[in-house]
Amino acid sequence: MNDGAHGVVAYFDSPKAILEAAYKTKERGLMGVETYTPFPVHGMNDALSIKFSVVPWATFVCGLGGFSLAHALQIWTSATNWPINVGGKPFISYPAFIPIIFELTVLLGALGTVAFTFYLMGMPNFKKPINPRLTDDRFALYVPFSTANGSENSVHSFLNGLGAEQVSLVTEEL
Amino acid sequence: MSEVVQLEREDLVTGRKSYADISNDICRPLESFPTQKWLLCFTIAVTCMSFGFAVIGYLFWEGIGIWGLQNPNGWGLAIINFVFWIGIGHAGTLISAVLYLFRQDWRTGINRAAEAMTIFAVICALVFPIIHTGRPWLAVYWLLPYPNNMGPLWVNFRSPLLWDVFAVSTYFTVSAVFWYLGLIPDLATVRDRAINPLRKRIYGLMAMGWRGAARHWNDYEKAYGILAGLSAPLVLSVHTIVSFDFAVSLIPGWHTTIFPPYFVIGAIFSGFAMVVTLMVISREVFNMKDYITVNHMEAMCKIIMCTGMLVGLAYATEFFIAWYSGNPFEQYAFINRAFGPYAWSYWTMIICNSVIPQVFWIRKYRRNIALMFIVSVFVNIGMWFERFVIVVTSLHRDFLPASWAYYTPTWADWAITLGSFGLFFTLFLLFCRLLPIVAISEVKNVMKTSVMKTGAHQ
Repeated sequence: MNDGAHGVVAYFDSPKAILEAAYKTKERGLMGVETYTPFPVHGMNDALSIKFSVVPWATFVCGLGGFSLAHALQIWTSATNWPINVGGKPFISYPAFIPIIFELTVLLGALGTVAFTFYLMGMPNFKKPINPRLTDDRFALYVPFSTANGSENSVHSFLNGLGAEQVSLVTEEL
Repeated sequence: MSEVVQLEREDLVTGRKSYADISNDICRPLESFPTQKWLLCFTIAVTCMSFGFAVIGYLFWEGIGIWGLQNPNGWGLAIINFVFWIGIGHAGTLISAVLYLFRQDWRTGINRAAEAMTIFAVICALVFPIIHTGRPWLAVYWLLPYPNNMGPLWVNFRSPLLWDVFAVSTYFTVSAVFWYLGLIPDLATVRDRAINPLRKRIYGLMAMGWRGAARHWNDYEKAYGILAGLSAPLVLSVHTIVSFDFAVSLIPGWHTTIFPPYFVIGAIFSGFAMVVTLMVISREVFNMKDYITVNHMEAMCKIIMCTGMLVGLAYATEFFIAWYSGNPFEQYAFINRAFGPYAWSYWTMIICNSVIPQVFWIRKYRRNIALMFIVSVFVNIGMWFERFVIVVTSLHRDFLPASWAYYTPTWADWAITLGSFGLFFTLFLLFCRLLPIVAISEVKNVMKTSVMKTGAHQ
């Protein structure tokens, strides 16, 4: 078939149709399948064997970072760098330090979560949309051509048999 | 023999919309020229904002002596407006984070606009602590632990005013990031619909290359959930810390342990009222009645009535504790609050906050858009007066009767207050023109057609 093609995209018009199609690709054992949908289709993680997201780890690590930073900042400035006696309170007034410990934990945890999510998603990037309707009302299933997925013709005809509205070749890397 | 009755939930979106209809309806205000109504509102808002900023310029030139502050009223409209605006912001986070965590799908109609409101309200709030320093260009090392050449002399981490700096700036940052994260799929929708290349480029940059891949949705939804989980305790902490500004002092009427929950509930109450005010207008102006339905509005009215009664309970508890404490200064502060020279503001607060929202007991009134608009405006007024009552009545008669005085805000106080409303509405009107005011991808996600019943995935 077309030598420049990287894979093939099948378009569907409902979340139900694409979910069923994704399960069929799983049964057939196709590799590297991806879907593009205007909203998250639930059940897709199972159909595409997507593992549990690692994002929460970033939240934990960055939150812990904020927690430690708040301790270090408050203790170092209040008790080490220039200790000032405020109303006879101890230099390390732990209860009074709690609000800022909490705030910095949340701040760094949230920023770290979002930064790491963008990193995982490879964003920002300047890739062109595959099809403008994929953020509107169409659902796409992409199967890359590879030796594991069998011949290009067989993939193409398999997707044609899934009841897609349209099946087209993709010539660029997705 | 009893029959099994299947109860169907009412649709969250009315009018039998397809996915494409949703994109079209929500993007329409962005893709058409502004209406005359919008231009008129925008002109008024920008005029108020400019006037307020001009007076802020005068304030920097002349000093905070142009305000009505005197001894013993060291705090006035600046902190009243600060607490008011921070409170307004709370409903947005509550809708976006807490209702998300409780899987209240009706939030999808209103969460985007409510989050925008949060961010704009916090911007308005931040103006006041900055300008009240009089010389804000020096405020960097007054407010933040900024390394300086005076030792360095650090900020006092034991002060609730400093906790406030951290709480409010964290709140603003996290809310803004959360809002932006929620916007990304919708920005991609706007990008893909754009015909004008410049428009496509601008929204394309903001969408950062989003395509809606299943692996991206997986990480995205996880991050969204975590941010909701972080925002929920954050929103409770912010008004708690704001209330510490008062509660940690030793002024009768302020030095009470009820303040944190009392402030948080009041904030949710006033915030929901502001959401109702804005939603009544924007669903009308931008024709969003199928997305922001009467059912959504009714749900908000229920929350307003519930939080209104909680606020009423807090008012009563304060009086009870003043009596029960046996502390004559505390008791006087409350008798003076209800029957002293500021009784007019106290009773305005009680009527607006605790009496008027009771009309929502009746279902017909909860579903009456005109009535809920009027009630929401009264609640906004009442909650502004709540802060006025707390700040002014506790200060104007202090421990020494010789120094008692009556606080009257000056024209400059009112001008800056008006300016903050102008700023808020300017930002909100711009938001309505530039970004989708309803979360497109989330609305599509809660449509009945999106909920799988095939069982194929189980």
